[in-house]
Amino acid sequence: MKIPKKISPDHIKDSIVGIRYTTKTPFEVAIGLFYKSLDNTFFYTNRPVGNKQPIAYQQIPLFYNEKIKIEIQPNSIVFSCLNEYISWGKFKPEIENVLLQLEKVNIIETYTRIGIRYINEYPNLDFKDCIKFSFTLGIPELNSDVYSFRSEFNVNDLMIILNLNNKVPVLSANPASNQMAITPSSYIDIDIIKDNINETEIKNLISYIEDLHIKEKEIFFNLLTEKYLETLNPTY
Amino acid sequence: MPRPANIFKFEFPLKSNGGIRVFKISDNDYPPFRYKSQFLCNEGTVNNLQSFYSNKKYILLKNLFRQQYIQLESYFEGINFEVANEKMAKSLNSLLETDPEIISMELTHDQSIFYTLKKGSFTFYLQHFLNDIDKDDDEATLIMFKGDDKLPSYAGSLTETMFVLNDTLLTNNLLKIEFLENELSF
Repeated sequence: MKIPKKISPDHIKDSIVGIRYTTKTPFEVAIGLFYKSLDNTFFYTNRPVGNKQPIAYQQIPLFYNEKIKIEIQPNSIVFSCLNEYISWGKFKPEIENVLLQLEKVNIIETYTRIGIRYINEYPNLDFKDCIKFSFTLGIPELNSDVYSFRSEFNVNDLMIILNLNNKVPVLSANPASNQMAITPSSYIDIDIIKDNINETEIKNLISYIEDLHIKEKEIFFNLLTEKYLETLNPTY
Repeated sequence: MPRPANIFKFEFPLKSNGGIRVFKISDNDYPPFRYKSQFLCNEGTVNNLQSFYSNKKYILLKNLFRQQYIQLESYFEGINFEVANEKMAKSLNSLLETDPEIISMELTHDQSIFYTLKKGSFTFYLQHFLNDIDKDDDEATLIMFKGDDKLPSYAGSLTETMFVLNDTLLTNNLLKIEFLENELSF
C-alpha cells in the first residue's frame, strides 16, 4: 500500500515518544544536570504526586517549550506535543534537539528502549465502514456497536500494542458553549516499542525513532479502508 | 465446565507481514476480569494517560500563570514571582487532583488567583490569595454551585478550603471511587 505523507484532518489527539535510559549518576543528581544542559527556550516546573494526602511523596520534573512537553522520570524521558500535534516534521527535530542537549552533560550511560505512540480520536464516528477490522462471536446475529479491543503482537523485533475503541462514551467540553456533553468517540491507538536495545549514539537512536514512526504509519494506514482514507484528503 | 476455546476471533490486515493475521483468545488466556487489565499486558509507552494529560493541563495553566503575571506585574508588588509560582503550584495541583472536566484560571488585581472548575453538576469558584496574611497557610475563598443551586460558601486557609471542596465532591460520590481504590483491606 502507498502510504500518504499527510491527511487532513489527521484526528491525532496525541503523539508520544518515550525513551528509557540508564545513567551514571543517581536521578536526583541527573535531573539537576539535565536542567543545566537544556537551553533557555525550555521552562522547568515540577509536580507533586499524591497530594490528596498531606504528604507529597514524589515530584515529577517537567520541562516544556512553546511546542513540546518533556516528562523526565528516573528511567525514562517522555516527549509529547504541548498543544495540538505539530507534525512529525517538526516534532522529530524537537526530540533530537533535546537529546543532543542532554548528551552534553555526559551522564546518560545507554538508551535501552524506545516507544512511539499515536492516539487518534474520531468523535461521532462508527468504525464499521472505516477500518478493516471485524470480529465474530459465534452467534451471527450479534453485532457489537460499542467495543474496546486491545492486542499485542510482535513484528520482527518490535512489540506493537494496538487499541481500538469504537463509539465509547467520552465526556468532553463543547468549545462553543463550554458545556459538558457525552459524545460517542472512536479511537485508534498504536504503540510501537523497540525494547532491549543498548544504544549510546544519538544518531542511531533517532534512526530507530524514525523507523518506528514509519512502522506506525504503515499499520495505521493499512487499518483504514480505502473509502474512508479518501475522505481524509491524502497527499502522497 | 470449561469454556469453548477460540470463541473470539480478531482479524486485521498487515500486509508487510504476509497478509491477514488472526489473533485468537483461547481458554488458556481468558482474562481474569477481577484483576486490573494492566497485569496481563506488556508495559506501553505511557500507561497512565490520565496522569499524563493532567500533567499537560498543569503545564498549560502554569504557563498561563507566568504570562499573566508578567502582564499584571504591577498588581503583585511585593510578591516575588518564584514565591507566587510555588504557591500557585500548590493550589493548582490540589485542584487538578480532583480531576475536573473544565478548569480555568486568571489573576486578579487583589493579588489572587481565581480558578473556575466544573466537575459533574458542580461549579466551583476558588480564589487563592497570594499575599502573606497568614505565614503558615495562604487564604482562600470558595463559592460552590450544584446545578443552579448555590451551596454554602467557605473562607479559610487554602488547606481547609481544599478539604471543603474535596468533601463536597466526596459526599456526592464523585470522588468516592478514587478513595475506595486506596482503601486498605485490613
